[in-house]
Amino acid sequence: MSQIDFRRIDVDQYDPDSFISKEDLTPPCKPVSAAEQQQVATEIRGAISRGEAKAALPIALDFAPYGGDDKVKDAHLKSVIEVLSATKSAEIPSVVKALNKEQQDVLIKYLYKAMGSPQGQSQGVGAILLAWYEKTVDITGQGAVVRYMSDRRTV
Amino acid sequence: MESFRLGTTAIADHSFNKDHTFVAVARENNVTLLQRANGKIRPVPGKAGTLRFHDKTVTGVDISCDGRIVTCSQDRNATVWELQQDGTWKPFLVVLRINRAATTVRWSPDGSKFAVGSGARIIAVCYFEAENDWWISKHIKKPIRSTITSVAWHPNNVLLAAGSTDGHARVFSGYIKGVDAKPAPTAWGERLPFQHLCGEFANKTYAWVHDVAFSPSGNSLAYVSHDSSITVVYPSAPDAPPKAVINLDTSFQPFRSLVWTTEDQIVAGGYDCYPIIFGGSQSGWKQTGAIDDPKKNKKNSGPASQFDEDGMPTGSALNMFRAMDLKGTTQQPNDDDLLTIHQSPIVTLRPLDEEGGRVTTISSTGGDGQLVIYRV
Repeated sequence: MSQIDFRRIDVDQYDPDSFISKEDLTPPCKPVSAAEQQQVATEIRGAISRGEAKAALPIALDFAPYGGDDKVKDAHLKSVIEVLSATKSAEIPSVVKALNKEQQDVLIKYLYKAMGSPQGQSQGVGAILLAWYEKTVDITGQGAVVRYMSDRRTV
Repeated sequence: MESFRLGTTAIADHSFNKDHTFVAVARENNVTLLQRANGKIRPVPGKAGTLRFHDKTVTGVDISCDGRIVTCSQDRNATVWELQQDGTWKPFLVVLRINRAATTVRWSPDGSKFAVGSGARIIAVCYFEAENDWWISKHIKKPIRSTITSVAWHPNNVLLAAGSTDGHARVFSGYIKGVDAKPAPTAWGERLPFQHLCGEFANKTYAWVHDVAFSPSGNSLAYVSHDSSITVVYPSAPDAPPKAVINLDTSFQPFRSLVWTTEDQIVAGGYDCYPIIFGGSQSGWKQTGAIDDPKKNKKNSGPASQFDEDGMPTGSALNMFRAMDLKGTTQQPNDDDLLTIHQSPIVTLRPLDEEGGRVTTISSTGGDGQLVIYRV
């Protein structure tokens, strides 16, 4: 192991030409405020209560708060999980097919994020997420999964 | 389609010479030379068959139009090899001046210079200096923010495209005074001093760019990146936004390499282990086909091997006893073989034969030690 120890040393700190920062590697994203998220969340909740979860999903996915802070992102995750839970399992394929490519990619991102968060692991939600995941990947192929992993914009 | 098993270790890069009579294969710390004749590929016998110089993994190899070989390695060096009268290859010093691994190397179309990409956020453009009998380099630094994964030359011998792990594909001028004639203006730029940035493109994801390539005319640029997408850029005029940037998100796994076969067709290969064909123009691109599609292949009959890693010819009986000896099995091919010829991702695709201005065959190598020649 001694041979690879040198890899742990941050040699860049001695390089005067080093000018890389995290911002350089992240695409520019529009900042998103908590108030904007609140507004969308209300809209989504309204649609769900009218029994229109199908219509709420594109709204939720288009809003993807790439430029928001962690609080905004978590709040929006909650909204997305509400929509996913409100959709009937049999309707999932037709709902996913109606989404555009960009929305499908965002959906995969949210499915992964949800599975990794406490909200997604609560009672009953896990099974719903897995059903969505299976049916979505059937339609999108592996490309969407790779895009979730390689996209530097996170939800 | 022809496939050749050249061993079991991964092949980082390969390059055929101009008349396709031999191929150089970068594997581990060496470059192996193999002859191609009568549909077979055999190692060049004796010492002339291996170029030994590097002491870390060789990452790139390229053969120029005049027959010189250049290699580059993670040991931060590049070497130019010239064939001597007695049939041996003599290494020439290249002064790269980089402090990280060299990742890729490509000759310019006329063979007067080559570009080396590196992990030091530098592209070294190298040219021969006769007084000292060595190849020296000029560095392109800004605005590269991360490792260079690929370089590609424009047919005019001056413009250079590079893909990087910072998510950008860039077009630079690689103009070297005294080596290059003044280039004619193109849509990429008019005045082209060395290191001039002619274009900078990124996907919305900023995912790693794996490979870049100019179209045969040089009037458009394509790149593939780790978000499984392929992007084609059509420049309009110098210092103006491009006419069109078409970013096609595919449902495949990411592509590692791409080849233009005509102005309106690209073949890309990568983690799906088989090449996929795209067609299009300024108004849009889409998938038009695939080669060696596993959905159409029922059961792979296994790669047609010419000789094994020890250079022994492999007859079926020999294979059978060897398999019994090593694996305790007589079953061939293996049940968990992929339904494609390549059994692990394609790392390098190269154009091979051309007919009437279109590429008709392409060669590929990858992690499984196979060289495959596909008919497009």
